[in-house]
Amino acid sequence: MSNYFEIKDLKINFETSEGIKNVININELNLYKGETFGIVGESGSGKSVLAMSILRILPSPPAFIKSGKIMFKGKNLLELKEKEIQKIRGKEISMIFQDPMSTLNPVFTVGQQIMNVIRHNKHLNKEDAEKEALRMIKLVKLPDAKNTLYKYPNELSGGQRQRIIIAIALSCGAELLIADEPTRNLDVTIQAGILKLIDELRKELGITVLFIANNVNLVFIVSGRVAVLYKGKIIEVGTSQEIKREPIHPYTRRLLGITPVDREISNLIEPDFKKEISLDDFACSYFCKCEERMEICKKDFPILTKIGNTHWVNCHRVINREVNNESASISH
Amino acid sequence: MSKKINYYNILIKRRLKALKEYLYLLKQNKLTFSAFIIILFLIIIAIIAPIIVPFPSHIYGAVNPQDKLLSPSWTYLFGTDEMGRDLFSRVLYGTRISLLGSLIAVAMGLLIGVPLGLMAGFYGGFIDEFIMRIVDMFLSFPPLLLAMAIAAFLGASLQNAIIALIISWWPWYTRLIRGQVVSIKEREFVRAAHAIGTPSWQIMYKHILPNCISPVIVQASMDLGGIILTLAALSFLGIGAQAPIPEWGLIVNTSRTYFLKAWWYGIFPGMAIFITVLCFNLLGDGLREVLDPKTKKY
Repeated sequence: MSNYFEIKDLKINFETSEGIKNVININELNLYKGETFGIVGESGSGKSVLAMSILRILPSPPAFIKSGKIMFKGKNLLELKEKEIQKIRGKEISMIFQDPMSTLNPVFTVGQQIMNVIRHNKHLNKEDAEKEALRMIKLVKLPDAKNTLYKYPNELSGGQRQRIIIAIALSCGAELLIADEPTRNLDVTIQAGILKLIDELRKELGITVLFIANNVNLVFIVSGRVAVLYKGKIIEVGTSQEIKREPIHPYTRRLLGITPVDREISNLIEPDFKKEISLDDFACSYFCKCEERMEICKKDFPILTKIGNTHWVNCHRVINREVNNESASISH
Repeated sequence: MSKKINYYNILIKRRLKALKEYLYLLKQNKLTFSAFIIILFLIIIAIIAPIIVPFPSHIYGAVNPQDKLLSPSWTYLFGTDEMGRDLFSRVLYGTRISLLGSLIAVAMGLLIGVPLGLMAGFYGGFIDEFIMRIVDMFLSFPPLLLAMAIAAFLGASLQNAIIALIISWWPWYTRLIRGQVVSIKEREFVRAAHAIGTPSWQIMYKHILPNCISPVIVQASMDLGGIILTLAALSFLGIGAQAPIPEWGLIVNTSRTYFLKAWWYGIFPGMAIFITVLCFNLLGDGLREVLDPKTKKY
């Protein structure tokens, strides 16, 4: 079970004329079969890059996958040939994109688009493809399925389109669904509908969902487990209840709108603003904004440390606390 | 399998309805619509020309010195030329040559230019550079001049003139398509299609091409007129159609000597060129309005 889907030591660089920038640096990330795993982070934290790297659809002049493994059912997706990954896309791993308004081809009807995908991937004849398309549209709970097939994307609302996109994404029997901000640009009520649908489909079809969003509350509602991404690094992983109840990393706390209670503990280091500071000067990428930074954060890279059964944090403060606790217990 | 729900049949029916809407939009613009009607009329004439011409033998050979340079009359509607041939028959038959010639040239131009433009835009990198530099090479000459040079090089004949037109016209379509592809390639639905496992040739032909075809249709409909004009120009200069072929440009060319004596000789084929080219241009303008959603008026 544990090796259903896992990312190991993934490093992705963007190489531009302005230099090389590391955008993803993930040591470990596991997905269990049938769960909804949320990834949350601010814009620019590398959420979408991570999602696209799984299906290998990152545009490759700027982006280069430097090292690492993405294991899916025993196969390393990063080592597969283009032809083999082509067979995984859509059939085993599928993706929903950010903007439902522009993810459908405007010149074809919804039916043509669903049936095209079905026919291409499942090699069905026209009639069976049509039945399958109808079934998919009913599955995503669109009323008047038959008429919807004849509509062009511009005749549908955002929520309807997103449902169609989910139908297309799942039409070829994908078991891992990557939802990259599926509710962006949608009304709150429609958001709720889409989220409910994704969750129902997950239970019904037994698929695994990788849910990516920058809305913290949304991710915590939807997902069983959550990873917080900051500047391409996972800084905290745990079940959503755990993190919600007891966020450890200063960034997570800030995300959740919880300010540190015990301000005396934090001996703030004023960074030397006279010389230009780039993020790479500090080991911890959150150093500049952190309210609880310490001297050690400057030089030593924090590592993802287990603090609970399922809860991992990437912060020196916690690591130190653990060590202190341990040493305290030893001295006892 | 008792109840057959045939999606595509119903879709075609709905498409026809949409076509009616296009026709309605076309009707809104009186000028475009009349151009459209005239072009339909010209096409019909081109198809049935051999049947309806009053003097079939006058089209090519037939010398009747006794009837030479007669002014328009009921027998000879457009008058006769210096060899006594009926100009009406010749101009009517010329429709066929001009329309067919420009249709072949545009079709071949599209056939060469569109796939190359698609490839250049879609793959980018070296392929893009390679194709587009060749295109630039062709585009650096004025199209008429290039066509003239090629036609002169290949030797004067109608076929060679059409080949010359194809060679000088396809780069325009390549450039047009490439520009469209580059912008549409970045759209979300192309990425989504990629993510869902659509092979790249299918993305190219099923997702990108239909989205960038409308400016090409507009351009092609305008070029149909432009190529008729250029074909006539080549014939007029003597490097296109040769003597007995009733090509409009060639008739205008031979009429030069008799212009003061016989005004009808040059005027009627000239008018034919003028009307045809004008109508194609008007149609192209109208199509642009209908096909481009941004200028669509509801």
